[in-house]
Amino acid sequence: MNILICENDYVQRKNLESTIKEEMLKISKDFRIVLSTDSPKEVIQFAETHSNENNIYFLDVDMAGSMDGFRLGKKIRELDLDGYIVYVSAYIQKALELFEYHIQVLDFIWKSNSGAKEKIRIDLEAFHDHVRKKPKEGSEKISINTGDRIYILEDKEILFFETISKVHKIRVHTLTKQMEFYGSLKDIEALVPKNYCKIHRSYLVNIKNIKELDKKNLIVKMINDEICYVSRNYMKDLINKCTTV
Amino acid sequence: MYYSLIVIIVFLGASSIGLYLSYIQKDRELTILKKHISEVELTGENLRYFRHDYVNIMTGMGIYIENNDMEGLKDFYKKVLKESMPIMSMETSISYTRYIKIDALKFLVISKIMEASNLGIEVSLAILEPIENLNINEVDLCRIVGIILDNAIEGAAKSQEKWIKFGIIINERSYSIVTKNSCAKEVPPIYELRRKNFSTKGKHRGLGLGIIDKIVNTKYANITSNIEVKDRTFIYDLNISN
Repeated sequence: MNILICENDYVQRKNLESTIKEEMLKISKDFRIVLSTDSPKEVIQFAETHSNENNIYFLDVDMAGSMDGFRLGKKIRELDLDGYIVYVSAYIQKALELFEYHIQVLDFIWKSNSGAKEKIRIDLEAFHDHVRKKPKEGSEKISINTGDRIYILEDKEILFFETISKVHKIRVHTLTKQMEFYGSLKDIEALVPKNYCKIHRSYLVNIKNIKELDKKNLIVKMINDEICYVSRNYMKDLINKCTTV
Repeated sequence: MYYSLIVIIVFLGASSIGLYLSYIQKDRELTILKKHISEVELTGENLRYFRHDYVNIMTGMGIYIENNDMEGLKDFYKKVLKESMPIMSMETSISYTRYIKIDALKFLVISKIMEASNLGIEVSLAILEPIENLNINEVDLCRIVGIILDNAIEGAAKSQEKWIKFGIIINERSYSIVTKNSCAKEVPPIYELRRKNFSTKGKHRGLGLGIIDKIVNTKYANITSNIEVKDRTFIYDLNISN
């Protein structure tokens, strides 16, 4: 379990390092601080070559001043899909958490807050638990690169993909979100595991999350009661797949 | 501090109203614009109240000091501090709007921050670099962001935590306008919210997410939107490609 620290101020970095050391020893002997640096470049280089390992990144960047810290996180996310990213910042600015959503950051820690140390421990624990319980084959996630961003979707959450206009826009429906990106259903079909079935020119459905199949009215009802239409041509294929998957 | 704020608002108001008037001639968005204009007026009024309050507070503190009433002063100070928190957070939020270089949008965001703050909603902003030249017609941009923020205000007002976070993120080839708000436990599923003309309340402005979809589907191939409802928060993420 690799820990990386990036912070440009020497004293602050040593501080953060010693806090992390102290906390990590309480949780497990398997943690290793593999890099503690002031250079974002070194962090990116590491992510490039070690993305198959379990990494947690503590990035201390002046988030209030510019988007650089955000860009670093984003770059890391592109290279290391599963890595845990924690931002450590001197400035409390609540709305920065919006970035969390964009690059799937684990946490934001405000240095000046009294609970900072505890948060570091909680994050290390979460990382530790995640690594321990990791399924053997990490194929449950489907990642979609939009060119500008990466959407990481969990197979068990996905209901269906849908084309929404003539301009090659796809909307994916999951249990908690709907996300849009450019592409064709064909591209997606090539990307998803076998439990997906095309049921219509514009629908690709996750069979695992179908609740009901109404053959007479050519309708599929998903587990959240959302409805998709099946075209007659695809019905046979769908029934086949439903019985085999 | 409040004076400079007033100057900013008045300046903004004047230039934006000009912009709005030109829209009125070429667009039929009269009702929306009227609403926004009345919000400017309301804004000015709020600021006058602030000034009035400020004088009262200083006078009140003066009396405690004069009487050497330290305990009384402490209580009074705590009370004032608590009450002024939403106003303070509003003010720092407003200062972040300086990066919005599109006047109509800036003005809209400020008026929505004011509206939310008046309802006791804490608004925080994250806009870290200048925002200009979004690849969308300004009227449509304001309509869409207006709907998103109205929904956020409505959702947050009904929630316990009452907060809204609003940010504009610059990506390599696009901008993302992200709004996140606290919401009540029971939120209808996204597909229902998205249905045309769906509104959670009959009396509400009646602006649903369906309207945004309609604008985007008919006019903008370069816009996508993501919606997420999770753990009592609602996120609307509008992506505008360059």
